[in-house]
Amino acid sequence: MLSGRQDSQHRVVVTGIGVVAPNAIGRAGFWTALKEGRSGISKISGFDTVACPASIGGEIQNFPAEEILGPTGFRYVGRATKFLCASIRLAIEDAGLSEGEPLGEETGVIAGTSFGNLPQTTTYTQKILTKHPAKLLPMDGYDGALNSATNFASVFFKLRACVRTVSCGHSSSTDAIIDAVRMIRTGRARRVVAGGVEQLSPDHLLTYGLNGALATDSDAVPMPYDRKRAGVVLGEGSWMLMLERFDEAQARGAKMYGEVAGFSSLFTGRASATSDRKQQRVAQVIEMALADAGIQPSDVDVIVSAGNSSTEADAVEGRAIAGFFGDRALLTAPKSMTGEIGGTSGAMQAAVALFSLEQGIVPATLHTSEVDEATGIKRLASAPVAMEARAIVADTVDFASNTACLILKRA
Amino acid sequence: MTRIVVTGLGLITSLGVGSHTNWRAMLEGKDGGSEIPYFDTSQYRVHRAHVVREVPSERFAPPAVLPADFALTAAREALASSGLDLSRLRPERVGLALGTLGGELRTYEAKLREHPEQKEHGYSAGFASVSPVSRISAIVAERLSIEGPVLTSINACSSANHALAASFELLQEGRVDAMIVAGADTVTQTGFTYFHNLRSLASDRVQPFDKNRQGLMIGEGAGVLILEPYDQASRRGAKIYAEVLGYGLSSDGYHVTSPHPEGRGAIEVMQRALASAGLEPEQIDYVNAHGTATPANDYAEALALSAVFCERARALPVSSTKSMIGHCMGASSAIESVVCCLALESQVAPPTINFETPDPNIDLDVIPGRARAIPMKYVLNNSFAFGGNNASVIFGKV
Repeated sequence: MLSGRQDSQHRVVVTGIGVVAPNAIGRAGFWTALKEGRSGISKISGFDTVACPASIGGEIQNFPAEEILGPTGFRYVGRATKFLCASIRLAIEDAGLSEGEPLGEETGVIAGTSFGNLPQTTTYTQKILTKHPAKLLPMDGYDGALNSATNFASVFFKLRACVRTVSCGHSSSTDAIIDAVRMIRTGRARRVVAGGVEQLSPDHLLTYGLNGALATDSDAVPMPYDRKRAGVVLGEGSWMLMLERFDEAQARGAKMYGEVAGFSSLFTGRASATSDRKQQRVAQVIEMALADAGIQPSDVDVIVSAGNSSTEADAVEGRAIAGFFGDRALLTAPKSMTGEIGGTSGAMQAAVALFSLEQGIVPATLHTSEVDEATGIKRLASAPVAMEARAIVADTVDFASNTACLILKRA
Repeated sequence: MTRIVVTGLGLITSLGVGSHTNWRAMLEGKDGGSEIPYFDTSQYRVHRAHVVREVPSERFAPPAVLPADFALTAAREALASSGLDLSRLRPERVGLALGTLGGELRTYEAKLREHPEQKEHGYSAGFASVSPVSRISAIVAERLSIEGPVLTSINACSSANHALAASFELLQEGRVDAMIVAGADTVTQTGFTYFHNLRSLASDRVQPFDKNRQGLMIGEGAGVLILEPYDQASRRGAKIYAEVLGYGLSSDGYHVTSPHPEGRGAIEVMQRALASAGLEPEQIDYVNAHGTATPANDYAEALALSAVFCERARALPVSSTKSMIGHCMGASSAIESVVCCLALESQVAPPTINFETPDPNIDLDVIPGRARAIPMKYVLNNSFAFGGNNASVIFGKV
């Protein structure tokens, strides 16, 4: 297939989007949920939250696993693996491509995830410590490596160009998409299905809780940038994008949702960094992404931001964005609908950006009623806004990992 | 294309701390296996692994040493040996790519042992400070004052070769001036049990390619390489251990634990690495095999080597250093990349130890027992992870 490095600035476009979200299944369903402003937040029912610091989240309830994945083959795998396989299947279908060959040989999969299958790992650890090793079942640890979901998916769909899992906190799927663009530009894959997956679990709740990030009220909702925001509400899901070369997409008459025009990613996980320093770094990432795309801040009409209701991060990110775009760009924070979905944030936000480009609508930010002045945010979409955007920024922020940014345009 | 070279190396394994200590031990064919001190193994068939016995930590006293500590120890050695003065580079142009299979689990396991009846008991502020896995990279990046891209690669046994590949691309794109490539993992009861119950573990020693090989032994440690552009390295008079000529990635698309029976993904990854490096198979002088010593891997790997290197495969020197340091999981391909650089520097290939009986189905020169002086210009480092996640890197002498 490949005869050595082919460096190029091939334009890379998105031709398919697979969505498994707390407020919708499937790209079309997600589009509707964005238009309607449908919240995916509810009381968690899938596991017992009595030992957890929160009982509310963007939980995917009544996930139609059998309908999407079929009746067999998924018995031994956990939530994240099912979500990821479902979103990959939906992305392939949405791209107008067929599973099997020749797709498999030419296509890679790169998934970003923050915790990966850690909940399956710790379940296995607990079984080990409570049972005699000889009494464990052979399949007990089956889905229990951090990257098991991506591995399973690559085997299930026979995706053979490459398989990679990236774990950079909230920027995991942003970094995964960036990786995918690189793979295509260097000729290592003809196509890559890239994005992320995150499951909701006691492990997630406990970790965010111990790190002081969670909103703990039983009726908490994510209210990005709101004066009364009290911490994040977690969510789950998987968003996967089918990425391929512009010229090939054009040649096969594929629908193009948009182009990845530029990107950047930097470490912003210094525990010792001050808020000012963090703000400076977020601004730096945005600046680098704009430069990479060859556009000016004034060319950006919409920002699909990382706003997740966290007390510090919303303020820092908000001020960084405001510093660049002032009141010129319109901001929307879709984690208000999904909750903080960790490693799949970038892919979700990119999907929202592509929705905006295609539909000419900026979706509403839910639950936020009074924007905190300290965030510096000037224009937050509180209802859907009709707008034909030229370029859209999707930024993911994590002050224990990376901040990363994608610039999306119409192809 | 920018030439990318290796200017610093760091190692910590069951053979000891430091590249020199490790290399000396490898040349002597030492076996680093020992009894596992971290948890009670009385209920298991296997009691040995490759554990790090000299335990360094700049953050905690043992036994709370974590993958971050292994990575930091090796990284500090690599930076010191590279002579790279990070303060002379723009901070956002130095990055880190860290590969790990399991991240940190020992903290969780230790806490959960106190009250195993509910898995939430394993959670503590200590564990939450190193979870999710990207926090481990964050600790290392902060300690080393890294401000550029920081990537955490979780690709099981191929994690560090993926991290190296990603670092290579960042350097090619000119987004960074230096990358610290690391792989780190610790022996955990969870990982140990997983392989134990798959019946993949050898009880005694690792015997890659041997007819009577029983399986792998879990290992731990870290390997670190400093990568930078050749022009920058030679301008500052740095010692150059090797050049990263290219790499291959592939995915078997076959089975979650077993390799493709004809080694399809392994063949593809080696061919892609050769194409990427612009080399023909006959130009490879030495292969550092994935060589876990499981019946399945070694057979599939030998088959793949035979397919790629044809008749020459039988004479091509191929060794598995896992025979000496065990299978260090996500750290293995970093450690083995360091070994490749040391081999090129010294023009000596490390041995496969514990090799007693050739397997009639495996016709390879495994460099049995003793290290061997070999003229080497190009060497290949293979890693084949579960699920057919394959990543191979080619290093060349400069």
